[in-house]
Amino acid sequence: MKFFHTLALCTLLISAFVACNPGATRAPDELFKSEEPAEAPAEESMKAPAEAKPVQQVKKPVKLSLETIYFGYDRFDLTDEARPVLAEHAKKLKENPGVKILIEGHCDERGTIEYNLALGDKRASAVKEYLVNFGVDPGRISTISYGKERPVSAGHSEESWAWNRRAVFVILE
Amino acid sequence: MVKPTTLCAGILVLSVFHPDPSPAQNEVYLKIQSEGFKPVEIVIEDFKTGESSELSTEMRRIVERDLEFSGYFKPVPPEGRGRPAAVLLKSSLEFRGGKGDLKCELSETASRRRILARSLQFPIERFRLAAHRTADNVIRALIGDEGVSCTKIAFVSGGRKSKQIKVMDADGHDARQLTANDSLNLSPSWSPDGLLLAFTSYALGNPDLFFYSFDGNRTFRMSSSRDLHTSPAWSPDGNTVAFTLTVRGNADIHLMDAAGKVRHRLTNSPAIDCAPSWSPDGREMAFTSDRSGSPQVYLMDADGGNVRRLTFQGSYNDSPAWSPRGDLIAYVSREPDGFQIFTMDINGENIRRLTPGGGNYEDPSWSPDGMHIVYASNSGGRWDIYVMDWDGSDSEQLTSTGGNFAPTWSPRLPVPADFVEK
Repeated sequence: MKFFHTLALCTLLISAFVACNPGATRAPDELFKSEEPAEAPAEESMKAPAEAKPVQQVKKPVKLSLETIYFGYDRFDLTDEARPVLAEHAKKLKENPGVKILIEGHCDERGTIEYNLALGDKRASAVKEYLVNFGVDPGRISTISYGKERPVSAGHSEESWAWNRRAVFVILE
Repeated sequence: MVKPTTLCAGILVLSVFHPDPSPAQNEVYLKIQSEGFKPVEIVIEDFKTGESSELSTEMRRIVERDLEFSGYFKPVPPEGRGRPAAVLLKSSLEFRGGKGDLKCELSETASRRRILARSLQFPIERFRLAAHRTADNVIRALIGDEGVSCTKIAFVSGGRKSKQIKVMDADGHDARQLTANDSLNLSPSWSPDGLLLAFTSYALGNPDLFFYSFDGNRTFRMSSSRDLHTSPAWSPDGNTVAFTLTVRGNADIHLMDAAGKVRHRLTNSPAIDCAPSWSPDGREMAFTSDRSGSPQVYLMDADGGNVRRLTFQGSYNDSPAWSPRGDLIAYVSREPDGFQIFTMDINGENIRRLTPGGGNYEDPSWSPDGMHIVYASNSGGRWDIYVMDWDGSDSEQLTSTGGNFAPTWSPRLPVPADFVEK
């Protein structure tokens, strides 16, 4: 639960910070949640039962959730908001060495299909490079671009576009 | 509007026609009139037929539409006019054992001389193509140019979940789906002989390059690495495919041979280099690069040398399409009122905006004769495919289902083996 509160607090702080930046407005939580699996509570160590049976260390799979990060228009460089988020992702990935991820690069609807495929690829690669620089094994990270083909927000406003310029983290089984 | 620098003239010169012409003499090049070109007036009679009048009516309509679309002709009604039309097309249609038998005669009205007589046997279900061939025969006989009535347009169709590759006649009819997977299929591109269609597909979990073969309805995977492969463009001689390959996020233009082996890397910059389009002589290509900070159109030689920037107006120029005539490059430019289609000379001058705004216009592709441009636009509320003249006039909507993108015009296609023409 503590983790969740920390996450909520971070979100709030980031929202406040980002509210000053018109290019990266935060949307209501509904849009945000639609892409992320629910946050799972942190693993707690098993307590030994009262009867003196041997302790069974059951390894429960940790459900990781890595939040989406966003990009400026026609940019693939990481924003000041994205960097600390990615640093956290790197930390979580190093704490869970068995986990492999796929980074999807996405663009807003403006511009041609082909250019946006290349731009989405650049975004995904920029994120991978950042994580690798933070010590995550590159063999655990694959990337793919969907260009502007898979928007998460269907509108045609600046806000919709900002929501679609993103890198999404998919935890692979 | 037809370019004055091409062939045609007005009615007066038609007296040049010879009676009972041999096939060679049938190709009459009319004198150029540099100004005030008038389309040749033609009466297309109703098809004489004892069979289904619906079919023959539709075939006549196709011929009429194709001739008007070519820009060379003005179909006029047979009666109620003071001045007779210059030429007359009479056709008769019979059915015999599953095959259609179409006989056409084109004659000059004033002299009643016969310019052309053709007989065409075809499978009845291919009646549309038979009508298109008739239009091309008329165009060839009177204008001397090969028409584009029998060509096709490949395009992308779908929504967020999946997009498939489709092919339709160049008049928007008879759309057929070529791919059938739950995935994204994008970026179709015709081989110069019209037998293959290259495209990008995510069907195997990665944006791979595939070839679809019309001969046998088969699809082949051509790329083998887990990278992004997109915007394939065949060289005019059909031996090489230029395409965008992204390695570790860096998009560069590469050349692939017909067997799928990557032979050559043409660009080598950390910028995004994509969207190649060959010159008709195969010696150069136009492409998009953001090496200056934003996407702009560049030229380079076919070996990657002599890179030079072509666009300097506007902050986002992309999607170059080199006209088969060699003299113009169409492209897309972001304007305050959306993405619009422009043309420029191959030295970057004489920039000319073709589209009227009120939406976005993208993916220009030229007809093989360089007289028309097919494109996608959401100016009608949804993304659909339209065609316009080379100068932006006379736009016509080809699809109306929405979710249609990335049209690409076929070359002139081989005549099917089951069409017999005399």
